[in-house]
Amino acid sequence: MFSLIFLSSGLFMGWSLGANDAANIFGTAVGTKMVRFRTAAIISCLFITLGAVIAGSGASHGLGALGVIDQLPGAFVLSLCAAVTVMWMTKSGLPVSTSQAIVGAIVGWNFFTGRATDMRVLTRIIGTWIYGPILAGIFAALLFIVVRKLVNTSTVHLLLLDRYTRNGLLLAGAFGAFSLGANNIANVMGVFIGTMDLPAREFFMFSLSGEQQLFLLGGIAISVGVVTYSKRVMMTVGNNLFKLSPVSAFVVVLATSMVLFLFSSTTLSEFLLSRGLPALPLIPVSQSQACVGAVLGIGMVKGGWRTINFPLLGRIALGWIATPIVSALLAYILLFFMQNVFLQPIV
Amino acid sequence: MKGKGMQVFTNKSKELMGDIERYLEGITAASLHFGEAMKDYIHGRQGAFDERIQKVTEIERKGDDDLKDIKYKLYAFMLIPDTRGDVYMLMDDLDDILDYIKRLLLELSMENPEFPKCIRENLLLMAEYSTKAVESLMLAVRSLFNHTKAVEEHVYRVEFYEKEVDGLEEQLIRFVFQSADIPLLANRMQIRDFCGRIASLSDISEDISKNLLVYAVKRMV
Repeated sequence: MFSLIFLSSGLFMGWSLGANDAANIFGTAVGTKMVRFRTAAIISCLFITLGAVIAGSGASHGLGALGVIDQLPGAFVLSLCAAVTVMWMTKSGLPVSTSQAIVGAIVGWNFFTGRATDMRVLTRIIGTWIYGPILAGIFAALLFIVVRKLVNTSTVHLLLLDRYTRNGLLLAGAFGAFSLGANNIANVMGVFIGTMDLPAREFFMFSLSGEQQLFLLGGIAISVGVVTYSKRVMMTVGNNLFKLSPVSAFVVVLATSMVLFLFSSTTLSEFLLSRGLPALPLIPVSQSQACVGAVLGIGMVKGGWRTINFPLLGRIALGWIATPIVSALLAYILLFFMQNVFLQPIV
Repeated sequence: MKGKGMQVFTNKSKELMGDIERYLEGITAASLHFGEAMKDYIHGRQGAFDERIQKVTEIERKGDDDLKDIKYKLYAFMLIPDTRGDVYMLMDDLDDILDYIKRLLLELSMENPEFPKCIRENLLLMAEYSTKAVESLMLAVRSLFNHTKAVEEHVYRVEFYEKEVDGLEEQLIRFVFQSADIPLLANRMQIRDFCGRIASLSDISEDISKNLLVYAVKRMV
């Protein structure tokens, strides 16, 4: 029972992720009524959960390298701090990333417990905050050039093209949901991995390790967020913010998903290493910021540097700096309270 | 294997494609009938002219039924809202051509204006260019569906024929008001009026082609 109470902050984080980030995947499709919300929600829930359970461990262990949280109350505080930071920054109108919030909270935990932060790991993580969106921008630009060439020279009837675009959005959405689950489950359940030792369980034809059971729980929390709140966000994304054409939306979702997949696929990482190629670090990256990078990538192809919204970039940079700092400070303060007021073990 | 649901959608898309194609064929046929009907009228072949009117009236009636079907299917089966709206507007605009051809032929039949020999050649040329403007518009419309890049070239042809018709119209009206072969002012005014009505067919085509260009630009990624 206590475990469930302590897990609640992680579940809240999952709900928040589902409510907000599913909109980056299906926002345009649902907002423009190309795909029904019910269809988008079913695909999102199914593939986010599958991604989390099947491929969630890579990014989660990457995050674990920054700091091993071994007590449930400590994990509860870190997850709560990250969630509160995300909520507060969102309310303040600053672009925010759950990945940065959780990383900030772990660094705050390292400070509080007096453990050294592995600067090599931290630098690598901060590096992904910069080259994650850049990579998404490059992918989006290249994909857009190819898709534009295909669409503009195609002799496929407009009505069939319409059908293919919708199917493309559904497929890209499924891939996007899988990648989001695989990569961002670390933000939801990553800090709890070292604190709970669940035995493996058999479910019909397959078995789930303790870690996978946590990811399944996180996936369900994200799904609840998708079902209960993401429709509102999707309608906003589809109608107000980044107003994308369905084809551009397809490219943005695909490019963003590719980035998230690259930073979470253990199989791909092992394959690259076996070929003597450098592998990308397996850590959670911000889907929203990758999305912004992808939109900018398309903008660059369409109109060059003029299309870049520098004030928006400035706000994103501000979010990059503010989120982890606020989260780390909050974690430091709340850990103090948890240890000294609520008398719960932190280390 | 293609899912059953997916196949239903593809079939519906193909059904709608078929409806649109049939509708466009009707407009092309009506414009060709118009050109031939003008020849029949001017050469005094009353029976053939009346038959043409009947054919155009039938095409117009079928066109209205097709349009109703297309509009319903567009909203039931087409998904990209922007494209759906553009196709809807285009189909609606094209209906004006059918209506106009039918009305013009009926007016000819009812008013029965007399065209003197000296203007018949130019009048027929005007009718021919107006027909060509409609034909080029139909090619532009088909390009919007299958080969967007070609729309501009066909629209250029529509503009070309419209300008030719305008030139002929001006030339004809000047001639009519200066010619001693047409002594009555009432005749002169009636001929001027019909010249304007024939020229309007190419004007309508040009107006639609301008909208078509916008739809084509929007379709380009």
